[in-house]
Amino acid sequence: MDCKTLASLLDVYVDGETDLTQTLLIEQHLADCVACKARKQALADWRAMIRKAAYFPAPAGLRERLEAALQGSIEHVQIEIAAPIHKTVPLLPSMPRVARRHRHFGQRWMAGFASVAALLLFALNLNWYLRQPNAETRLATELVAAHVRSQLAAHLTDVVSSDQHTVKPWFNGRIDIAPPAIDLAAQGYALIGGRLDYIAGHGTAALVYRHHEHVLNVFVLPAGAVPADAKPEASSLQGFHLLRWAQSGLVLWVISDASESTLQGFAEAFKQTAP
Amino acid sequence: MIDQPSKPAADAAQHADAMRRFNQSVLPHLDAAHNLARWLTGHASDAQDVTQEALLRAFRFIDGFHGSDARAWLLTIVRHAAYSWLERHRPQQLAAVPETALDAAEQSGAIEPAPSPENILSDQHAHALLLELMNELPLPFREVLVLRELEELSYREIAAVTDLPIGTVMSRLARARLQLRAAWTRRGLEETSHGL
Ligand SMILES: [Zn+2]
Repeated sequence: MDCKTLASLLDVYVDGETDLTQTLLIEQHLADCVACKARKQALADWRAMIRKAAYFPAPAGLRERLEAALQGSIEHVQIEIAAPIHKTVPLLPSMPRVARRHRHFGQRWMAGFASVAALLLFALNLNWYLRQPNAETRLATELVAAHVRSQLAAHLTDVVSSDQHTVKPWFNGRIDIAPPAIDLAAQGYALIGGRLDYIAGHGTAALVYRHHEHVLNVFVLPAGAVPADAKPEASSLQGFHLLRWAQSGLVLWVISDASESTLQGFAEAFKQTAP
Repeated sequence: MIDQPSKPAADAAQHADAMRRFNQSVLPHLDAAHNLARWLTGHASDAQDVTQEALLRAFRFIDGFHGSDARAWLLTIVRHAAYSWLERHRPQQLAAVPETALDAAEQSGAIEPAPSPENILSDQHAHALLLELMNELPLPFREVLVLRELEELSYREIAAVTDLPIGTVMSRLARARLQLRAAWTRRGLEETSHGL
C-alpha cells in the first residue's frame, strides 16, 4: 500500500471500519512510514479536540425535570393507548439512483472512490435494531456488503491469478478452510483471484470470478455457518443476486449483479468441476 | 368490572418493571441523548425540550425495546423527536441538500487530515470556531458527524439510527469531514493573518 492510498483510507481506518485485509496492509505501512504515522497522529489529535470542544452533556437539572415528568407520565400512561412512534416525514428525499457499473480492474482506489461510494449508497438498507432481521437475512446482508466492498479496485483480490494452482495454495495457512479454487474459463467464468474477507465475525475466503463485465464473488464458509435446510437458496438483495449451495462440507455463496440464471449456470459449472 | 380486582396491582408491577428497565438501560444515555438533540436543534433550551420528549417516549415504548443497544435505540427516538420539532419550528433546516459524489477537489482534501490553525489559535478561540463551523454544516452531514465523532457509533449503528443505507452514511461522513476541515483551514488562516 502506498502513502496516497493510505491517506484516503485513514479516516475509515481510525473509525475502525476497514476490513481485515485493509487493516493489515495499513498497519504494515504505518509501522515503517514516519510521514503516515504523523498523519495518523494528527488525525487522532483533531478528533480529540472535536470531542473535547463539541460535546454537550445533559445540563444540571434536566435529569430531575425528567424524573418529575416521568412521574406524571406514569399516572397518565394507563389511560393512553400506545400509538406507534410517529415516523417523521421530512426524512431526506431518496438518493438519486446512480447507474451501477463495475470498475475496471486496474483502476486506482483514489480515482474509484466516488463511484464506489455511489455503489455503496444503495447496496444496503439496514435497520438492525428496529427491524431485527433473522440470521439468514443478516448473513445475506453481510455478504452483499462484502461484495460491494470488494469492488474497491484495490481490494478485489489479494492474490491475482487465473491459475487455480496459484490461488488455492495462497490461502494455505491464512485461513482454516481450503476453498475449492477452480478455473471455469471454458464455461465462461474466468477465475481472477482470491481474497481474505471477514463475514459473520470470521475470516473467510472469497474467490473472484468474472463473467463478461460482471464480477462474481464466491464466499466460502464452513458448513456450520448456515443451517442445512435454510431457505431460500436463491435470493436477491438491493439489486444483487445471491445463490447458496453446500459442497464437500462447505457452504458456498455466489453474489453478483449478474442475472439469476448466470449464477445458476455458475453454480452448476462449479459443482460439476470442483473435486 | 367486578372480576378484576388485581388489575391495578398488575399495572403497578408492570410500571415498576418498566421503570427499572428504563433506569438501567436508557437513563445512562441521557448525555448522549442531549448531545444529539443539541446538535440537531442547534439551541440549548430546545435541546432540553427535545431530550425530555424523547425520553418520555422511550419510557412509554420501553416494552418495544428488545435489542442489546439501548443507546442506538434511544438516539433513534431522539432523532425522530428532533426532526418533528424542526418540522414544527424550523422547517427550512430540513431543506434537502443535493448529494453528489465527492469531486476531485474534495478528495484531494482527504490527503492532509492535519489542520494546523489549532497550533496558532488559543484553545478557547479554536473551540468556539469549531462549534461555529460544525453548526454551519448542513443537517444531514452534521448528524452523521456528531454520531461518529462525538457518540463514536459504528457506521452500522449510524445507519440504523438514521435509517440510511450504510453507503450513504459513509459518503455523508466523508463529505462532512472534508467540508469541516476545509472551512477550518480557511477560517483559521484568515483569523491568524488578521491578528498579525
Ligand atoms: Zn506512508
